[in-house]
Amino acid sequence: MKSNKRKKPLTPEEIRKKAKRILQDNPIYINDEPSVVGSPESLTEEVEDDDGSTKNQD
Amino acid sequence: MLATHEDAERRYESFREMVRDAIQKELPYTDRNNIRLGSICQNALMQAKLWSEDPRRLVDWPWDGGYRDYSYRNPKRFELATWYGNTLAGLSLGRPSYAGTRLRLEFIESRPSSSPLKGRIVPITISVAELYASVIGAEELRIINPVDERLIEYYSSFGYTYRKAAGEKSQKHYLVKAIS
Repeated sequence: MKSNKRKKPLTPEEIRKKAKRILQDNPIYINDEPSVVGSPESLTEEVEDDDGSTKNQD
Repeated sequence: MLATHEDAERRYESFREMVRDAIQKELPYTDRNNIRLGSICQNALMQAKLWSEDPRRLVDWPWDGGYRDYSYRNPKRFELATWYGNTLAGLSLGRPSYAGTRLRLEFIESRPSSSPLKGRIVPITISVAELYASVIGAEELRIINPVDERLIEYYSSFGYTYRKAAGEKSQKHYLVKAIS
């Protein structure tokens, strides 16, 4: 669901805390890591609208 | 380049830089002083050019020309070059949706062989992308076409959900996580 509320920009301290938390919550190492994730074909598509269609980005 | 385009490029590069710096300082590795997170600079593109000569490379995408076009079209993009010392170990690109409610991580490529960061490129990239999504106010991160079954299974155990797009225009599958 889309939110119409505009989020307040994060302060540098909030960014630092978030960085720490993200790294704690995520894996730090993957056995047999694939050398490619995703595909370059996605890069040539138009920007995806939030409803799934595509548009040019400003 | 139009002024608005240039403004967006400058503004979003400052977000990208802030995010890279924040993650780099908190990396949980004993050798983290050797790891550097940067933008996709000329030096990175030159090293990536050498990847195309590696028979173990799995894709045939020219980073130099491809990146230039992509970066011009997407000033709000996510981009990351991950270095180990002077060796380029990984590159990645993504971009927000039009209204910015989600960030799509579209492509991650690691150095095809003898990567000093083998096993760590995807985790580092996804962590940087999550923080970038948060900073630009996106509500979710999508890892587009994750392809690798083990990766899907692995990230599903870390709060991601695997979905197949149902829309007619987009048949993509992705891993998705809500960003707080």
